[in-house]
Amino acid sequence: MTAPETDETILVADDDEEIREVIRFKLQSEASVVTAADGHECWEYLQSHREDPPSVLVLDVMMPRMNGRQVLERVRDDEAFDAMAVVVLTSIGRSDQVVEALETGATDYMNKPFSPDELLARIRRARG
Amino acid sequence: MTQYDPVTPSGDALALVTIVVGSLLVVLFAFTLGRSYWLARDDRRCAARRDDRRSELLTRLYGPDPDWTSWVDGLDAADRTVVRSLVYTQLRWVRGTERERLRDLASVLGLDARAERLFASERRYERLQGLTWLALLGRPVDAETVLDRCRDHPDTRAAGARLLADTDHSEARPVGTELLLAPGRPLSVLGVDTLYQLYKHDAAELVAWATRERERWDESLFIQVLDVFGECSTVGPGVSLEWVLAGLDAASPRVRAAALEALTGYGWRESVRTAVVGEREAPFSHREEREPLVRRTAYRLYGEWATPDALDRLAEAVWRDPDDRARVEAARALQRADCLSTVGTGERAPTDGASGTDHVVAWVDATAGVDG
Repeated sequence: MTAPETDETILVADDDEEIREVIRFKLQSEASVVTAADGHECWEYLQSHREDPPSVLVLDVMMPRMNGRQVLERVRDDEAFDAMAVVVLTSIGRSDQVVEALETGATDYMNKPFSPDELLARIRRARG
Repeated sequence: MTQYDPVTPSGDALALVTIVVGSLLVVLFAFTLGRSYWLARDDRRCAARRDDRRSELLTRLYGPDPDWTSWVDGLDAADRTVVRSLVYTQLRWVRGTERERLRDLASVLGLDARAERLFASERRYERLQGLTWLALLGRPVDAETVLDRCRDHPDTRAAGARLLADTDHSEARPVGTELLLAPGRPLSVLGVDTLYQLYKHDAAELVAWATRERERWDESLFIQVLDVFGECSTVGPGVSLEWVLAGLDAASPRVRAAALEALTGYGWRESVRTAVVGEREAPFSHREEREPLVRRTAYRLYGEWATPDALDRLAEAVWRDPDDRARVEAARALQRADCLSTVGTGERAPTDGASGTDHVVAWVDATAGVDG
């Protein structure tokens, strides 16, 4: 296992544990990976790390307590997270989710099911 | 005079009952506590086992050579159950190289053979499980076998058709459609979506099927096919829509509404426009339509088409329709076409007045973008 070369953090918010763990495994060589099991937990983490926010947020759309769209709206209304890239995970065939996410300020999106390699490439691009 | 004392249990008996009940409570309490502890420990062990196996699986999945065979050989029965569950979960949303490697692992675990066995089962639930696994594993299937084993229930019919569609089987359309549109019970949600997946880019074959089989379908199935057809890409001018237009004459208002809805994308066809907004001998006339549900659907359709005739019908409906919700629908359709302000002016102005129309227009104006 390769240690991350940067001190960046990537936050992964998805209510499916398997998805969180696979993404964490795939991204752990890129950055420190933190996970949240729902939108509320994700927002609480972001609030407690306003001074040093993650560089990338991987955000599922359909989540309990607070969905991805609500999180994204709050993120984009808050200047503390201006530099944070947001990659939204949408359901395949739901172009409305994609449009809504991009209109709300998502940096990029990926349809589920997805290739973890492609997600990694998109995250690298989103970080610039 | 004889006095009877009430019968009271002796002190010894009361003590004995108290001791027995107390002991039972203590045993029950101890048992509940012990069982909770044991179950919690079991849960922790299962979670730890799952975490360990997942970590091993991911390390191999992303490593240069997974060597699944030697890994699986070293797993006990409980570990294999956990790994099967992990493979099942991950195959559902991973694609690309990872999916192919997971399918190799599934093969080493014997899951492809298990899927075949389940699919051959007499029990419907097991057959559905088998179909799910076959789809996840991308196993080639024989269309005739699917047809034979999936006819008996809407769930298996939908799952069988979906398997053929997902594996891009050359017989997916004919066999899948035969399964889905067999007369009988209506389609399941998966069935409706599968029918859409089969025809979303080209519904010409669905039209041919509907033209041939429509008379055999019950109302629910006919409505479902109309709904799916309305969502598919529009078919070319050479494809007859008589089966949809026939739905405009149906006795059921739900069918008439579904037929109108299905025609939304066909305003460019003169024959369709004539049938829906034509003045004379048209199959559909909103003036003669008694069901508000159908008229509301027609008004939405007119608004989508926004032809001069359709806009005239809408302006008329805002004044004349006896149903308040239908008038609101007509006004909203006009507003979406940016023509609401023309209601009541020029040739569209009513000669005898109609109560409440100003209120409808004001309401639609006020709620624009709020609940429209």
